[in-house]
Amino acid sequence: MKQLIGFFTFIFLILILFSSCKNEDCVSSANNYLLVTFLNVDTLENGSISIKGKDTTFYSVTAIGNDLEFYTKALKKDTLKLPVNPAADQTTFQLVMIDSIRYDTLANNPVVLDTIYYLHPKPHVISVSYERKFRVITESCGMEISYHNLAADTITFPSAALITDYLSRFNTTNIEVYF
Amino acid sequence: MRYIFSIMMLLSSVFATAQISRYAPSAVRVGVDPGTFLYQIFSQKRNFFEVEGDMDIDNFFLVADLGISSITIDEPTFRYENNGTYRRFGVDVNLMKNDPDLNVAFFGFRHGHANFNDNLDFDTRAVIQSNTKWPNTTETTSNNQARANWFELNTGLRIRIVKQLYLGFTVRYKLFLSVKGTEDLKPYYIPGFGKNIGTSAAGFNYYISYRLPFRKKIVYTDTKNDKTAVEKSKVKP
Repeated sequence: MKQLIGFFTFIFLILILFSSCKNEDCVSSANNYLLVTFLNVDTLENGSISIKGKDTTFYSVTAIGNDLEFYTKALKKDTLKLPVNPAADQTTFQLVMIDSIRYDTLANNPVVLDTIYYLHPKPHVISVSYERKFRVITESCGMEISYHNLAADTITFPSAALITDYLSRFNTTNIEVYF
Repeated sequence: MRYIFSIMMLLSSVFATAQISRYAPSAVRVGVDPGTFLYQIFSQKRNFFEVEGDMDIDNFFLVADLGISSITIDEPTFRYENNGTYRRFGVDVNLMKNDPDLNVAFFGFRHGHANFNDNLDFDTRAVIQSNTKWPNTTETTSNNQARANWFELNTGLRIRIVKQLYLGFTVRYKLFLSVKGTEDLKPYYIPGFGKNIGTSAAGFNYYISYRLPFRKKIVYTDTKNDKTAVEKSKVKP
């Protein structure tokens, strides 16, 4: 009888130890950034195709319907991180591209005034829809929204492709835009 | 020939009588987990009530657990609620089948099933790893009539304290959890299973039980010749 009780006490302690080791870390691989990469596609003389990141200049990047500006004027980048709306299943971004910026400096002693010209603004739209999944990670850590089954509803760039249909914090490109 | 047939009939009827007397249920035991009262006193988050019953069949027990559970996690940026019922059915094998006090040390298995609803209200600015430039809104998501199934390996003790009253515990290793009927919200908690972190979990219950015997249980003290060497248990019906 004593041996049995000792045996079960041992099992009990092992299981308590096991349960206390249960992983309950504050870890989430999800975020709400849609990664859009701009690429320059060239056909080389030997017939091979060269694909390189294309630095693209934007006058503004906004979310339509919310008046949110995610990037400020005269931004030059080959990748944009566009945060989708965590409270909706669809987000539409307007990206106003420009060819270049021209600075005019007027000497008006004692003040020097710079006039900046944004040449040839071209508005484009990227509209995506997605499914949101909700999870409480831990009580102290909070909760996450993960975004799945991403679909490109509208892309007004001449050539683009959906590469990855979920959003991840591991810098995975979702949409590639080709020039 | 006629005598041989008569002797065979007599032996078979004796054997059949012995089988019935041995494997017919001798008692049921009904218990509750007193942890429910501790939770009601000390915990604002969790409430549960669990009833356990088993039927004593030789050195086996048919076991059924029924419970109701609710949990509320109220944090500054989110509120999670879960309400449901659960049940477990299974078989235990008594390792102390010849104990005259009918104490029980057992191994067994269960199949667990839970039905539950849960609901999550949260502020969108509180979502981790997210851009907070979007205006904060309060969102709600829920599951209605979700279901979960799992299996358990169990071990435990039931020790007779006085007369037909027993105290004991059950240690549970729960595994192969599957959840169905959910939509966009992953349940944080499964009634009867615990936190839905992985497909396995450990659990523990205390029980206070009362044994209701149908008849005196025969305890076989000589396993080599158990048809002849028997004694009645000390526990009177």
